[in-house]
Amino acid sequence: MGSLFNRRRMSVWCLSVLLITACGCKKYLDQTPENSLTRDEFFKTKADADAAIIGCYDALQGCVTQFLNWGELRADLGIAIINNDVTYPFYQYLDKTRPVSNWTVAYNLVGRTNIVIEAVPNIPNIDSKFSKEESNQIVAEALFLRSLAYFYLVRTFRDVPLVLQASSSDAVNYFPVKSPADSVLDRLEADLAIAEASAPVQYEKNTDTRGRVTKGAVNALQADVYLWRKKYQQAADAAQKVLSNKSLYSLVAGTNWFNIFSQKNTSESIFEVQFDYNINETNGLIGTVSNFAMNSVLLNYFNIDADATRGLNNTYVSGLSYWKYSGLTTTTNIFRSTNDPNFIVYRLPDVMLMKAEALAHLGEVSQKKEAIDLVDSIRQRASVLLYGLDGTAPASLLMDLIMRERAMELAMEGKRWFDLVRVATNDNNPDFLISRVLQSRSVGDRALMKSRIIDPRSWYMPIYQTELNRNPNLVQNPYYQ
Amino acid sequence: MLIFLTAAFETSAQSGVVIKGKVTEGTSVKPLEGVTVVEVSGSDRQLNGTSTDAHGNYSIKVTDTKNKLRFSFISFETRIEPIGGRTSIDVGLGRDTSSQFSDVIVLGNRGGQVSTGFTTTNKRDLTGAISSIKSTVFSEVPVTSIDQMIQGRAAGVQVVTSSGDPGSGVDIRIRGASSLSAGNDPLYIIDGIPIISTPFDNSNPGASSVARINPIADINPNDIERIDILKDANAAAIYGARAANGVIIITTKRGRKGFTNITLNSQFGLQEAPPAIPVLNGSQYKIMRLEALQNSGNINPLNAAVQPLLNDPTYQFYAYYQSNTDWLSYLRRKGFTQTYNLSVSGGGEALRYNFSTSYTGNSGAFINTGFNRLTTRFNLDYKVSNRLRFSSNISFARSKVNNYANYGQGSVYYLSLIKSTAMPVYDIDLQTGKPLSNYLSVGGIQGGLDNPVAFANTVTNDAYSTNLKPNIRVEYDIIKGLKFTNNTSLDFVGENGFLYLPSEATGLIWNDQNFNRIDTRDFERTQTIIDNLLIYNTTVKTKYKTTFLLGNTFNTLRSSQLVESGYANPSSQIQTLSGPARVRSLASVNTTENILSFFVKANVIYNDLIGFDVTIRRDGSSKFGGANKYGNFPSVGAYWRLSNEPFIAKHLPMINDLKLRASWGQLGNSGIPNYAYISQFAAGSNYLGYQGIYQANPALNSLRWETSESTNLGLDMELFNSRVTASVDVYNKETKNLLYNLALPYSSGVNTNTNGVIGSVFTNLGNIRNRGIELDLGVDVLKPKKATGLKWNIALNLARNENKVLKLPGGTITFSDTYAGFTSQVKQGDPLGTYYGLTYKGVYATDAAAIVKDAKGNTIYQADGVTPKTMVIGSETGNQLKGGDAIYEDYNHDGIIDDQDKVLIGNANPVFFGGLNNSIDYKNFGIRLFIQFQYGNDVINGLRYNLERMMNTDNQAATVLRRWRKQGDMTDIPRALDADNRNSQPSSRWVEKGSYARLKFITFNYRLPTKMVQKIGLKSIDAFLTANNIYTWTNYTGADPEIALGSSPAFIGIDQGLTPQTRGYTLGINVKF
Repeated sequence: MGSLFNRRRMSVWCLSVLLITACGCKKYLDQTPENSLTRDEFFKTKADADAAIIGCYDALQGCVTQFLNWGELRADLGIAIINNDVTYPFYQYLDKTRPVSNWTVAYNLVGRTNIVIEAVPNIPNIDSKFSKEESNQIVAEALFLRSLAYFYLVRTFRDVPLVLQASSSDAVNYFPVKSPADSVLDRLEADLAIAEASAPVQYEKNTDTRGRVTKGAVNALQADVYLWRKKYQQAADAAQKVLSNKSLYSLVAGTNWFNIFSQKNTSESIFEVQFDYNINETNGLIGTVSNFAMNSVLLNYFNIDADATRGLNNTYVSGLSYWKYSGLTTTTNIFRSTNDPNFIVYRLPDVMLMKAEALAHLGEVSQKKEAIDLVDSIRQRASVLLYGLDGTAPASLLMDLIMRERAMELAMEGKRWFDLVRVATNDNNPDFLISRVLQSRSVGDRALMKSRIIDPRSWYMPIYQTELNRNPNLVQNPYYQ
Repeated sequence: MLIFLTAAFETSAQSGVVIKGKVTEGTSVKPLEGVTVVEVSGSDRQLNGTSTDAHGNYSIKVTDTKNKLRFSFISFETRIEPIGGRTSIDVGLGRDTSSQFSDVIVLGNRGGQVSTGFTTTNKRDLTGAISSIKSTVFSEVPVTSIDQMIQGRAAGVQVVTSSGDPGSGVDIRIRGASSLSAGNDPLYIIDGIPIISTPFDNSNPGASSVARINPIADINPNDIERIDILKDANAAAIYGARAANGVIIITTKRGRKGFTNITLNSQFGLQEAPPAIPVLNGSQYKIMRLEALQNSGNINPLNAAVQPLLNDPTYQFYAYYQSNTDWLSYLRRKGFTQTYNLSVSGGGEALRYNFSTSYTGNSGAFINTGFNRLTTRFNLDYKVSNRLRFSSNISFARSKVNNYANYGQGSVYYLSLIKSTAMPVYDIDLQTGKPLSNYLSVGGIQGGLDNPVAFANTVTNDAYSTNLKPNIRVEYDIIKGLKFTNNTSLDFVGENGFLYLPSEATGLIWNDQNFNRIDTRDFERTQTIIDNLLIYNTTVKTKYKTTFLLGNTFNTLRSSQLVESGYANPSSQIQTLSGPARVRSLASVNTTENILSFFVKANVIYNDLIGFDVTIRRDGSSKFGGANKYGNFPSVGAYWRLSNEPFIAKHLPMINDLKLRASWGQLGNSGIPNYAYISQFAAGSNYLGYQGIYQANPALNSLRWETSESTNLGLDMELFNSRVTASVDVYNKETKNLLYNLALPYSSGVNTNTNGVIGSVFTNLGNIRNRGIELDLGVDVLKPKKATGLKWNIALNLARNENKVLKLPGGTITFSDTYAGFTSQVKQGDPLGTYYGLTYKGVYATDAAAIVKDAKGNTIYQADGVTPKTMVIGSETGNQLKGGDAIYEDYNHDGIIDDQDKVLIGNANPVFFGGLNNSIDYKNFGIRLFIQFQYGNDVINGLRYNLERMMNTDNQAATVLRRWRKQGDMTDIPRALDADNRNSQPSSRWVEKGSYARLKFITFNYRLPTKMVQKIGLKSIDAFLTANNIYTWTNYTGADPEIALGSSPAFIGIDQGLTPQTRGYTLGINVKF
């Protein structure tokens, strides 16, 4: 034993300890996260593809409050009852520092879908249990969601960065420039055509059929995009595809009209973003809407038509609070105690009125007649007087009636401001928007409001200051420079 | 390795001879009891031993008669006797006159060993910049944490106490902040082992308001022998990749050969309650609020915000708004601290030990705040033979912090100031008007602001930490001068946090997710380090002293966190997660970091005249990928002792020592989260009940080390018989490839949630430079010939650091931190910590005064040419300014106060900072007087911002009684204006000079006469009385000019109204047995 420990041997021991410990350490520095998957581990199986697309829907859930802000709050159907960041758009007071112009949530959705669109098509090569068709279906869902995000962005900001590359590594350009609205919309049309081909007509569960991307949802969005771009025939055709699927989409009976919101996922629902308090899926819609009362303009519409189906205790309750998101019943004032109303992106009357709008513009007598019938079928469901006009009525009158019907049917569903911008722009009639907005404001405010929206460039929002700070390649929108 | 070594030492037994004998004192016959008798081999290895009995007799069975017997006894000389043929050996031991028993270490300024990492060096031989602090300096300072000891003691080391709350930490910057996102905290080394020194990452959901523990506070200050601060790259080079922010080396006390020393210290301290800031009383508050609402156009008497202010008894909640509550008086109190420390040290030839245990109990200046700590430490050195030595340090600490908690609304101090004085502490029966016993905690009242008294009294917010640090070191001399060392250590830091928000504090009902809410968490971190070193010391031709060091280190840091948050507990009395509680969130995180390092160091000193050293360290880290895993960190340094050159020695005899130093080196920083470079996908994004996964981080293949390169020039001198000592250092430190958590444009589509920042990735960008000068000066003003004469020493340190962002892509980066309207930003060409804002010039006396003027002062008219144009804020269509609104300088004369009018209005970096210590001793008395100061920094008085802006329901300071109220009022405080920030814009109105000098403490100490003490069987008794934070010279109007630096290097000097530090008194007694 002693000889093991003589001077020379000891130094050999010491040196070998140094050397042994110094070698073979390559693995030692390769640590991988335990709490998350790495790209190397992900996008290998069907389950990964399913989880990734669900992640996109999760991002969509985060969008709904902002989508409502963008589509509704500057218009004429509400009236702000408090001054705060939510209600500044109502005063047409848009400042680049206001959070309403923060587009994070929409690009978050874009970012997640980009990764799905890039990575999922490769999975069938790895996982034999995942077919090309299943892959295409998931890509179709992602394409729809990305298109939806861009459509909101284009309608709100006009020219926006068109980011299509997945942000997988730091080799990607994180500082995109703006693309013209038209080129963004061209891309949407192409993407939606692909999505239409692969999206399923329906799913096994009704909540999935109403809450996930279907062919009907793609067609509804197509109709909306074409309408925005004055492509009226294509818009009418796309809308008709939805209307043709009568087994899946039918109007809810007038007596059950409020169930559309309180019960969710009714037979007229085409695509609605799902929430459920019991699984911690909530949103801020009730809080957002509580900053507004219903505008007297809309109250007049309901009063003139004596609309009991959609009026008091349905669209609103006494005190003029909007009731669609916050109510549970029509008979008593029972509030939704949980922050989980669904956000309806498209439902049947919306698509019907889109088609009517397209037909009204196409202008043939028969087409205008069909447009009136579409409006009347919605009015019939609401048990209010039918217009019963014939196809010779002027298109401008039809547009007034369609817009009036959209207001009554779709109030506070995030549609109205886009409707006003669309019609005013497409018909080259700025006053269509301006007069309606001013009519809904207090007399004292009208001069100031007018000064703020007289320039159509002001109908689009400024790019958020934080975004400009972060991306030196972005230029502020024209009206706000 | 260790097992092998131990096994190798087993000896083959032989039938032994029994040796007997007697040990006496010197030549007398007086027997010595307890003398250690050891059989030692030829190589001085101890084979077996015994000790003498009461008569001095011993008996030992020896293994080999060729061996020797060693007789040793504390304070006696050691004798070694060959056994030979003898069976009886009597010895007489003489008194050892060489060893001193006083453990007051009195080292010269230039003498002594300095720890330079892995080795110690004589301070004479240093080439790098190192500041050292000895235990004598702080033995009389009543601090509870070692980081507080450093404040003002070392030039170039900026130490800021983060708040006056018990157990709170300090922020330390050594030679300035040099990193944006990789951390600016120094590396702490205790007895050669890097320790876990940062508090737990609190970015996890539910954890943000739970009390935290500063791991450095777990170290007992009484255990510290000395602290060495390695400031430049040369000194710190041996720690390579972790040392870019400097290294603080802590050496703990070890046993010395000699009598057993038993020391007992007790300290009792009182801390004054925090000062009050005068605020509006109840009726003044209501008038101010009413004015604010009316000024912003809200004159509706039925408005929910207006109703409470109208004093209308028919109003439903009238009774809630009729008080005049002094909130602070319910919350503050005198703080009390008690500390007990017992240490036992001693040892003999082979074995030395130092054992200590301490308890500290501290109750804070606010109710329900406190800090408790129990520590033990056991340091052991065992010499097996002349060639083999073992040593071991084991320390354990358990501490508890309890603190306030709310929903992130600010400190209790801050809340007590902004809470409406019109409201009562306790509920009132609205029907009868009778006071009730429960707290008034009604959601929605005063904008949902909590009742701070209810929170302080009923909320539980505790953190417990467990800290265990064992380590074992083996040293073996292979041949003369060549030593192998293995160091194996473990550092365990565990923390349990616990927060309970009972419904009586929050006023919430059962379906709210904060109703009877519980947040608990279990965190633990374990660091294991194995060092292997070969050290070769030799002297060539008596003139060349050389040292070579070769080593490697394995470092594994594993961290695990479990956070559970629940709500709807059945009762406020049950404060643990139990049956009916519902889940708010559940999360656990495990991460591991591995670091592998190799290093070599060579050091040559020629004749005490010239020294030269070179160090190269190569570090690999699991935090980086591919080719970027490894970084090389070289350093060189040299010195020249001019005073040993004949021409100086001859012609300038007043110079005792004069040394020039120069060094250059590179260090690294990798302080980013683990796995940042790996593309990651995270769960937790669900829809329709399906589980979703999203990309939480893109692959960052180009991510690499942050490198700081520094050059240091130093001069050390001693003059006039060493009565004056001075050191000057000049340095330039440039940090490149800054690691930065870059906030990406939202449109990039990157949705990460690293560190809670949405859309950010780590990247390397930009350069920051810190350069500066440091001076350490010590003067023995009075230096008596007799030890008991009048002695006066002055020690001054002074430093100036200039920080500058040299390069930044894009020119400016805006951080997410905001406070008081200010946004943190970094701009190329500026230092870190600058503020941009409007220039505040007072208050418009009338509406007519708020008109636009051109550069020459002429009025600008509207298109009609008659009506003057009115100033607006924000944008062309923004609000028009009126009488009572703030006047801001409109630099571009466009009539719009906006971002274009924002200019540089403040810089939080001091021009210089330092400390001044006076110590005066006469006979048994001593006085210590210590001043810590900084000069030339700006502070954003965020507390004043919150107490003077009059734009929400917060109560305001009494200064707003001066506010503008009607046309023509000339004042410096704008009008009250609800929900409108035009008058509280980030502007020079909130920026103040933050220079201060603080008499940190003054101590009187007295040592009882030795003779008197010895009569009662003790060695010594010292007593001291210290008063701290006695006085602060400053023009700053806030409660405390010492403002925490916080975690963001670019957003410093922001007074957020944390608990101020207050005056305190401590009485301490040290008894040695």
